[in-house]
Amino acid sequence: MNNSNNSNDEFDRISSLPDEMLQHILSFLGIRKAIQMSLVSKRWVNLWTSLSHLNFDPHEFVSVDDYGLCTSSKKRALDAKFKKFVEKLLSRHEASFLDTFLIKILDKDCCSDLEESCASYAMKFNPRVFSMEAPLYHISACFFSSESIEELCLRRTSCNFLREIPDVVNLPRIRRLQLTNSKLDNKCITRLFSGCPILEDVSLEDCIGEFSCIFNQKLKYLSLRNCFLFLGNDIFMCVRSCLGDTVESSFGIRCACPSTVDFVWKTLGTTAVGNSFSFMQNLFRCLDLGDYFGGLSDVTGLELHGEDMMSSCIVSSANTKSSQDHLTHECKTLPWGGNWKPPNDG
Amino acid sequence: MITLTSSDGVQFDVREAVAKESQIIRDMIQDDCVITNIPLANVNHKILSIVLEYCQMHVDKTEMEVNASKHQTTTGEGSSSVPVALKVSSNKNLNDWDKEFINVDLDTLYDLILAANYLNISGLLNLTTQAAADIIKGKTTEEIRATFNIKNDFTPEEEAAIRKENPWAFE
Repeated sequence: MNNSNNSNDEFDRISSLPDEMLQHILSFLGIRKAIQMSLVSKRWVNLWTSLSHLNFDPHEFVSVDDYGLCTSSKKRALDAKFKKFVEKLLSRHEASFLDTFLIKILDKDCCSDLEESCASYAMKFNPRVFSMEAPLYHISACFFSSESIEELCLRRTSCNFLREIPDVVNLPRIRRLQLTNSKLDNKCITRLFSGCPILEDVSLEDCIGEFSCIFNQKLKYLSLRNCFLFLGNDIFMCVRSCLGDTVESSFGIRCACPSTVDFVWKTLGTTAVGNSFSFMQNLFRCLDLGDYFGGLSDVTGLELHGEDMMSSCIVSSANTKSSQDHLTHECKTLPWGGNWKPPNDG
Repeated sequence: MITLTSSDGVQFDVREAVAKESQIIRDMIQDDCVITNIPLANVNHKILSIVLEYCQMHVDKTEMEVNASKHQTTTGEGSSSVPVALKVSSNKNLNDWDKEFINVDLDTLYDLILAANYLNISGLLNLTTQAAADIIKGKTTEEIRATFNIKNDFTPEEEAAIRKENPWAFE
């Protein structure tokens, strides 16, 4: 960005922008930085008190790496400081509406009251976007019943037990949902999707469940990471798979079958409309790589990649002698060529 | 086609779809479907041409994608054999284009923020305010004042009072 060299050079134009626009700018800064902007000049004092975007990130106080290196007593001190910061700010915040509320909570021991105070503060304003990354001891049912929420992200950190979806799900406006550590059986998924009629983007991580009916839903984007899937009589562990308009590498491991087939695939920007989910279903149903290809009739581009430790078994069922050589390092394509074209192309 | 007239009287003929990237123009067209000439009192021709470049690019990209998927659905035979359109990472390209587009001097940036707000083009408003925030990031208070020509109008006592009021943010 260049500074202008014209006659306006001495004129402070940014401060003459309306409050609303300055707040828009502040909302892209971290909340701590937004408060620190109070020191710039009188024009900027207390603009932060009515921000409609709140993003609390403890890494504004300490970097991820530094936090990792801290002793536990130091961590406790930092967590306490962050908690005090959030509580103070919420007590002084005077917005008439809240669009977005994002918070990350690192503390594992005594954050349940912070979780609760944040949840009750934010939900009172009917926000459009709510995201909480925290140990999430008490998952409040209020997240799953909101007329206003369009994006909801509940990431549970450092907790091994699985959470269940509340009995009542009513999120008429939700489009994006991100969940971790959740147990999703068929009933849950049915309940979830009937309560979220316009949901189009779902990301699940460390979840376990019967996902067969997810693949039948009309989604534009689906991402599964470290999920255990039950499909019929088979169990899949899906380390990372993704379907949608981003490019991601993925692989799923099919297990508990007479013969194990492992595969890696990469969807290259497939626009996930309609049939993409039959692609997904076909992928999971395949018994060998031959069938696997046959099932990919609605993908227009496919790259097969070998990735680190799993690579050696990728083509174990394929008739290739040199498979090991081809897959020893990243991004090696399978012997029959990297870019696969669908048989009915053109 | 719609004619948009800038505050300094320059006329721009644009496709309706391009003009409709602006929420206020979209509302005007909806209310009065025979409207063909819209005067824009708060945007001069220099800024309007930049704004329209943004709208044009975003409309073109969206239309390309829609056409691609339409093409796929009309040429395919059975529903199961319909190839899904490849976006060929068009989002990435558009983001790169945006990044290049917003590399402007500060005065233009302020004008674009005001124009995006006035015309209610949320994508452009986010892009421009994000760019302003990126300039602020990583700078000290003193550096921020210097960059934006902001005059420090605090007495040392007032400054100390602000720090004291919110010690939890400054410590």
